Amino acid sequence: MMRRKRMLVDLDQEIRDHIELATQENIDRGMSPEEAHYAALRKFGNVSRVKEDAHDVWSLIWLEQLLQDIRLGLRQLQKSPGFAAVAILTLALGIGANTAIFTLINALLLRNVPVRQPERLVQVSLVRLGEKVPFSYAMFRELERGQRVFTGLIGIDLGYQWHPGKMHNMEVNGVLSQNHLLWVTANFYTELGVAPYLGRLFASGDADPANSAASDAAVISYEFWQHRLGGMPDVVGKQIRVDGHPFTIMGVTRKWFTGLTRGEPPEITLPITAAPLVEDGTSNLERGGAYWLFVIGRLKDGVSIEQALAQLQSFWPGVLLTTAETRQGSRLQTYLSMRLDVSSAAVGVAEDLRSQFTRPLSVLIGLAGLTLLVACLNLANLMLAHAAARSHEMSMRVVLGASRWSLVRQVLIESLILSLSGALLGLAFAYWACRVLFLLITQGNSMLVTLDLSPDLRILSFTIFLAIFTGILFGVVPAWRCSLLNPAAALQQSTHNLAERTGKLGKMLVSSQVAFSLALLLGAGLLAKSFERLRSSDLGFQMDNVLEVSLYPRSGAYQDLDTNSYHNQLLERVSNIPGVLSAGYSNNSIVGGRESGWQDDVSPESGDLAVADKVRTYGAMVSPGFFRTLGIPLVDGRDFTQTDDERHPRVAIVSSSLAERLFPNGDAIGKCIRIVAYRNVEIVGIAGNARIFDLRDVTAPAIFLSYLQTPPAWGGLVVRTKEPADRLAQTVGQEIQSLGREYPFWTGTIADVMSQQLAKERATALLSGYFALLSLLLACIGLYGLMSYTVTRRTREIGIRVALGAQRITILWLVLREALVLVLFGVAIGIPTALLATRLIASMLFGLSPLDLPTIITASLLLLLVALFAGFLPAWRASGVEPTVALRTE
Amino acid sequence: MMYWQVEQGSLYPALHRLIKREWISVEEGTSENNRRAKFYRLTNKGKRQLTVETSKWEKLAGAIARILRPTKEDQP
Repeated sequence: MMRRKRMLVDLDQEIRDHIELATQENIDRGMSPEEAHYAALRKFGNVSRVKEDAHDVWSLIWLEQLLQDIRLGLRQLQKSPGFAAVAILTLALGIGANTAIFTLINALLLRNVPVRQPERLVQVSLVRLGEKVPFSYAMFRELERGQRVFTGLIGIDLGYQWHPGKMHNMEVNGVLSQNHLLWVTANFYTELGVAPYLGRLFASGDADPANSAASDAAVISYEFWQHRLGGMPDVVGKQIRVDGHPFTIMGVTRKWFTGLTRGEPPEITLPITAAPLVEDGTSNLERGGAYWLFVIGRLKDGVSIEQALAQLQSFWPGVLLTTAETRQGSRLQTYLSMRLDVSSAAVGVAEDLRSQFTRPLSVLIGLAGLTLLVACLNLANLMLAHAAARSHEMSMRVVLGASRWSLVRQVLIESLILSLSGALLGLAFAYWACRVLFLLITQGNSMLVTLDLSPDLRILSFTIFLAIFTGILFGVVPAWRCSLLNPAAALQQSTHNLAERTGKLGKMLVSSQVAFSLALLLGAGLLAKSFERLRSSDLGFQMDNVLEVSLYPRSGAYQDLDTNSYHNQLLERVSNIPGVLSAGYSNNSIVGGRESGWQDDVSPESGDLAVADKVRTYGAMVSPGFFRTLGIPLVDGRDFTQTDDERHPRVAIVSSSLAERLFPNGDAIGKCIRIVAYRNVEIVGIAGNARIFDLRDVTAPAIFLSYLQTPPAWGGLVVRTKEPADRLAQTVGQEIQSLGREYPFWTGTIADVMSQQLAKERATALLSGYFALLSLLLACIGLYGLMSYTVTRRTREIGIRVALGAQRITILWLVLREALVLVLFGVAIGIPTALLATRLIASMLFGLSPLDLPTIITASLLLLLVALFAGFLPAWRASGVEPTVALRTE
Repeated sequence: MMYWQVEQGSLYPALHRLIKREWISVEEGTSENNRRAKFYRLTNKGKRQLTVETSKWEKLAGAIARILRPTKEDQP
């Protein structure tokens, strides 16, 4: 830049010198001074031109031209504000929708967890029977002792993810609340590299593994502190009672610290070694068969994931042998066959939340992308018409010396101005839309989901990329058209020449719009139909008027308690509430509302254990009234009775589907099976297939055991009522409380659970329908615009036809036929495209093939109908042309 | 009669272009008749470029010459 300035200053002086010198020479040749000066100037040429040229050498000419183009573009758009407004609004909606969905994807899947060097974090998991599961505490201790590849190993109890209803009673300064707990090893915060907002976080002394009763330290989250405790300034050192046990608040984490569980930040963290205090002695710390501890490690510098796995594997068999305890036979074999897995944990460990939302979100962004594409095609068409109207101006510019490239650049700049303004507006729209979207798809989650939806650099670049991409996409066709402009023809024959070819391009654009819209319509149709099927499918049980109440013990309430007689008493008292028809107990919740339900292998007792047909089966411990309460018919055999208790041989009721798979000859009653560690369990009844554990699969095998024979650790009631079930919720709750042992921590009707379960499907169907309608609308606008344009262009021709005696209907058909051809062509290329696209959502469909013929036909007909309507309006106008008026135009 | 006369002024933008591409360097000084003057000198980069351009030109000129050379049949 410095050089540039000096060169240009020197230039002025040089030119003066040059002319002076030349003048002097001319004078020496005998010219008069004046004549000499002019001659010198003539010979030198245009001084200012020379200066400009030299200036151009040094200046950033492209930048100046760009600014000039932008100014011109803005002025052009000001001249047609209607066009600009429509274009910007369409783009804002299209880009905004994409950005909104991407914001969710970013927050849930892409962002690293907010800790130091998240990319160095890995999750170590246990692979048991092909499934990734957490570790037992004993295994964790051994791993910790043997590993050489991590700076430290963190253990976390994510138990509340399995039992999301499981809350703990908190009390601080007389403020009561129910919250989730996160149990962590003491190195949790130091290893993650997290700084406190207030006070201090856990230190190694807080959870000395050798002294499990030592620590009473608690750390609370910023959100808990703000929302539950009103942000009290002296919170550090305060006592917090967790289910009655006192802990001392050591510190507060920073805002937005979500731990390793994206979307579900821990509200209160306690050292894992204090768990026995709260959990009434039934602590998982001692139980070798409980796999509950998630293990996260921070890789030492220079250690790769593969190296880490190799080092862990080198001593893993020894760990298994030391922790095998008293296992024998096949259980020992299964135990010893467990393997290790190490995977990156940079984006956290909330697998559940992520796997739930990945698919709906990717489908949604696909749909939104397709809609944006349709919008682009529409805009390309608009731009084309816009450019056609300006062909005169463009030609004039060519004639005056503009290069074709500069015309193309001008059109592209204009489309980029439109798309960037659209994106800017879209960002604002997305900020709002992603929150609505978030509510829409998470309303079914019983867990509080918190996501940081604030825009970041990634979202910004995504939006800018989208804007530039769309701008070029819809600008390139009109720009290309401009580059083919023949100025002489355009200036002579008004717009006719250009219009001819614009028509062809426009037709192509409209047809592809129709094709993409069809794909969207078909996808939306399939999702909607699938949702409807899911909602109205035969459940195999009576859903209405059933209340589900999950029970949670008061602290110490189970000690010296005969659970069987207590539960019988509870069931009897609830059954006797006026309005209650029947009540039952189950340790597995219905339609997978709060718990994923336990599954285990069941096999016939007679078979050889090694080769026996094992069937992965849902299981539940239920009370005698369970089937009656849910209205599940018993196909064969009998229900459980009060005598199916510890003193009698173990019995089971199986679903029809399980009976068929284990005993294909249909003689299941009286046969013996084995499940988990139980042998010789006799089948006494067969229940009808019902979607009680898996909403999507009526034939999912299920086994029911008598709860009197194996008192479960926790469970809940199902209650059938005469009137709408939610009215009795409170009464049932009071009855449970009055016995003084347990309290209801979650109550809801099965119908509610069901609709929550379907929230994601509903949201996906709803949004895809919205996108399909939007693109249908855009396609129709495109078609309407094109046909109107055609009609205007052919007014003269139509006038002549009418003058020569053409019927009104003939004219109507003339125009309509053109529209029909376009749409049919679009449908013809649309169907194969759509079928290709819907294969991607095949796994989201329920009882429906992506090749579902009725849906294809309905979507095509709908499209045809709406498109014909869009084509009909211009056709109708054409058929009303007065020949005298038409011939006088132009 | 039409002929191209290169204006003297167009020398300056051309020189600037060469300086910007670093093909020539410039030094200030005084000329023999004691006027202020600039001395332009080819840089190494400029010399290389000159070889490239020269060979290009020779190729082109050679090609044109071959086209213009009358064939045997045309000779009287």
